[in-house]
Amino acid sequence: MEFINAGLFGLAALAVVPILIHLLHRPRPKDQPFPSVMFLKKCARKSRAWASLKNLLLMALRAAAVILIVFAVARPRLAGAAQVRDQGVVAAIVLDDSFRLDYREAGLSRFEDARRRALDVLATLPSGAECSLALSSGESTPLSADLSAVRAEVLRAKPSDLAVPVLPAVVEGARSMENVKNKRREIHVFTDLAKIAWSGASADAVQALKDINVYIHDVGKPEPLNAAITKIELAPRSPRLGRPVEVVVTVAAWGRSGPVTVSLKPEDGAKEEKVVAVVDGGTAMVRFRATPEKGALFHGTVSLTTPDPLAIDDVRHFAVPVNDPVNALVVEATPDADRGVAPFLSFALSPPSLRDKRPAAVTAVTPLELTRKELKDFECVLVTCPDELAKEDVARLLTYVQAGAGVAVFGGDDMKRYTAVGLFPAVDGVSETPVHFAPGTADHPIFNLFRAGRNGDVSAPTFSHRLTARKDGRWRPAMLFEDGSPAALEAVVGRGRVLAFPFALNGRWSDLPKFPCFVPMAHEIARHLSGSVSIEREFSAGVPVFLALSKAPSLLDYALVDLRAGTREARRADPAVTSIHVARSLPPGRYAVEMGGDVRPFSVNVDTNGSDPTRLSREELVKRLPRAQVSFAFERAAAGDLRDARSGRELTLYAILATVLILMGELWLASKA
Amino acid sequence: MADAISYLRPEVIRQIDRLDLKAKFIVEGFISGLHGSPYHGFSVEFSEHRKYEPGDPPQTIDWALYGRTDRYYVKKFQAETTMNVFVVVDSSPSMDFKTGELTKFDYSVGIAAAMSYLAMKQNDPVGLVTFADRVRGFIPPKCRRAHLMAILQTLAKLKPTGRTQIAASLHEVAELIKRRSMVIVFSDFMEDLDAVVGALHHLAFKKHDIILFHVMDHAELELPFDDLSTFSDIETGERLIADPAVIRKGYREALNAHIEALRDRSGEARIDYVMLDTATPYDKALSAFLQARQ
Repeated sequence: MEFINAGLFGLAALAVVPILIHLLHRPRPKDQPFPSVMFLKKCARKSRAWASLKNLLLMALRAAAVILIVFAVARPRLAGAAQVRDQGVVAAIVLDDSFRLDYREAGLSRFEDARRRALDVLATLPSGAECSLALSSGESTPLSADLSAVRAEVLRAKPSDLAVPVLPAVVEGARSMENVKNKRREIHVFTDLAKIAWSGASADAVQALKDINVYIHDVGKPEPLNAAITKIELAPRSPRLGRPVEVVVTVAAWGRSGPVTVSLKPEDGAKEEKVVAVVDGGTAMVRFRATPEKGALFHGTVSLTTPDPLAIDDVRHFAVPVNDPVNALVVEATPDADRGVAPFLSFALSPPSLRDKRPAAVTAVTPLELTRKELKDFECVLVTCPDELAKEDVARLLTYVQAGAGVAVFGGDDMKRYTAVGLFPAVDGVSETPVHFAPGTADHPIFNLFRAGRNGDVSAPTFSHRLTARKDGRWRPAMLFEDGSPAALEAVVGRGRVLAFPFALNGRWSDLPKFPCFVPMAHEIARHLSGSVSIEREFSAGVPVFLALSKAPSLLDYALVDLRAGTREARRADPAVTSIHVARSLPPGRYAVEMGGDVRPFSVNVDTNGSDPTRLSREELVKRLPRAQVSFAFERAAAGDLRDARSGRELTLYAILATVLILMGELWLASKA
Repeated sequence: MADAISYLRPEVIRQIDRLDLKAKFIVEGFISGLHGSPYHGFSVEFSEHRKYEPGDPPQTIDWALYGRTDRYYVKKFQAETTMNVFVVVDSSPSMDFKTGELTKFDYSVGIAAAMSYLAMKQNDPVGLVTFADRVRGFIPPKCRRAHLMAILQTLAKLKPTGRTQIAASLHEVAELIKRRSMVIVFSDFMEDLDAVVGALHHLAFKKHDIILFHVMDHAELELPFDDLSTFSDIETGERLIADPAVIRKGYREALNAHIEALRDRSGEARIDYVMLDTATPYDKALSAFLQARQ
């Protein structure tokens, strides 16, 4: 035990005052003549003994009262005081600012509650203490002795759009005080104790919490309720103007069951509502149909209209292009007039005369240039000169296809390398008998356009030179030549697909590029292949947005358009890359990047992985912080306990109570006969 | 009626200086309060008739005679017998104590005078004995007005002195009174109980009708003091320091035991016992006297 105002202990000498007063004012017996002394004598002896004892007790009580008053003024307290007074406190305030903390009830959000409690904790810090602030979204301030600045930062903090775990911020808070020695180290974590918030840190990282007092301030609700729109899928992914699109919405629920109303509001269409039943812990799907009627973009919002305490994940945006040109990479040989080699395919896929109506955004490269290209930036790759590709590029093509992309390979003189990796069927030989397509044998979407003789006569081109593909169950013929040999084959490789054409696109092999059917056929091939790869159009809030471009931006300037607000923000791209990086600070919404005539829409939504409010038990949490000294400050009244833990329990109140009790005892004794 | 009785309060009587007047005042006030009381016609018998005069009590009208003569007559009574009455007053210093209006001695003298006056009105010869450590004064009983005045003068001049020797004095009184009499003792009985009771038995043995008036000051009964006190015995000068608040309960128990024992043992000897607080109105004592006289 020690005393905050130990210097006042000299006042204890005042204890002699009541003793002196007692002695000086000791009652003098009053002379009382009395006739019945004979009866008094019988009980006087007991009276004298009691009177002496009473006098002594009164004197002792009065002296004790004075000593206790001095004791109280000296402010005694129990252990713990020395550490704080002599060495100080460093504290880190860690606020879980994930969007889940925007859970609102009775007009108060969890985050507002957390902020209030954080201010309470700040108020308990002793003078000279240092404090830092860390938000789970990543922002932090260093240790500072200016607590008012930290307080201002806490007041400025708002829930983010992110769903990042709080544990890394806790570890960061611990690291910020790694070099602090001989001080009491505290981390105050204000969180809703959702399970999702307590992941994302390795066991090694948690070691940083060793010997740190971690106070968990639970601002969550014991049984939280939430429903969220977790996914929107469009079929097809790139809708066509005037053609219906199916919008498939997935709704998840936690802690609640029953019907919820889901509405779809396309930007240029009418709002539609549907009711779907959800169950606690499960998901439900709602399907809407909408038709893009105009413009190059199809975008809108899906939302839950049923009231929900956590509103931010009740809305989800989508934005996709309409009539989106396929982002295709065409590998073509250097034009050679003698061999009839020309960039037929790239020209057919992206005719300059179509301007912004071009069905494909083509990047044409030679086999040498292919080495420098990132294949994943393209929706499909079409190879017209397989003989010239390096072995490594063939391997890259295989990897590309296996990852889910589409590749078209036109025949060449030596296809063994392709056959070996499954990118081309085995070839028995070369047939030099001229032959034509047999349209009646077409059994593939790429030939749908040519049914009933529309869009050009497919049987017109002559194939004077062709490879004879061996029958193989993995390769499915898409169309046959007149002699029954395959004219196009398709195989599934990994998650992707490969279209194999047993002929080359040059004059030696065929005259196909010279016929009108070649252009639409090329478009359909590109669209078909691109259908198996998904260009990312939806991003989670807080995640950097990379948009792949059809080519390295020759124009550095581009515009970021907020499709909901209709605002444009001019930006400058990095010319060295084939993608542009949009800042991660975009709030949920619908956006587009405009560069030249190229418009790339995308949507930003909250990551609904963070919508799950399922809570972690205290025991589980303690297990996840094995090296820390974890305390749970679940009530606001815990501020007093915190002071006690930090500075020792003050005994002043007890001393005052004891003084009052002694004075009451003195009064009682004085009145007692 | 209520007003008359209120004049029997000691604080009122105290304002009368002359003892004879005081006695008369007490007795007249007492008798005027007896209307309708059970003391009507006490110890007297019919002597003659006289004509009714306004102011005579209606109950004294002889209605049989009225039926015969058609006139109002009232009955007159006279005492059936006469009886010597000895008033024995303790004049020891312990009686000279007061916390109210009157000392125990003054109170006793007042009642003694009143009883003498009342007895004389009934034609009872009245005598007086005063004592402290021994019998200090003795006036034999007579039934003359001049004798009453002598008794009253003696009482008026009497001062408490000496030391209490109640038992010895009462033994002496028992020897002094030859004829069967009514003996009325006023004392605080501050003495060993056995000795006192022995003396009373001696008196009772002589066939006297005995009434004990145990006169106590209110403070003696209650010990109402609060401050630490040095109690000094009025007679012996013995000093005792005590906190009244502490010993009050024990004191009361001891005193009550003494009183109860005196009452019980008096009763066993057919001796009337009356406790008188000096704040008690005089009629209580006179009533007790008249009851005994019946």
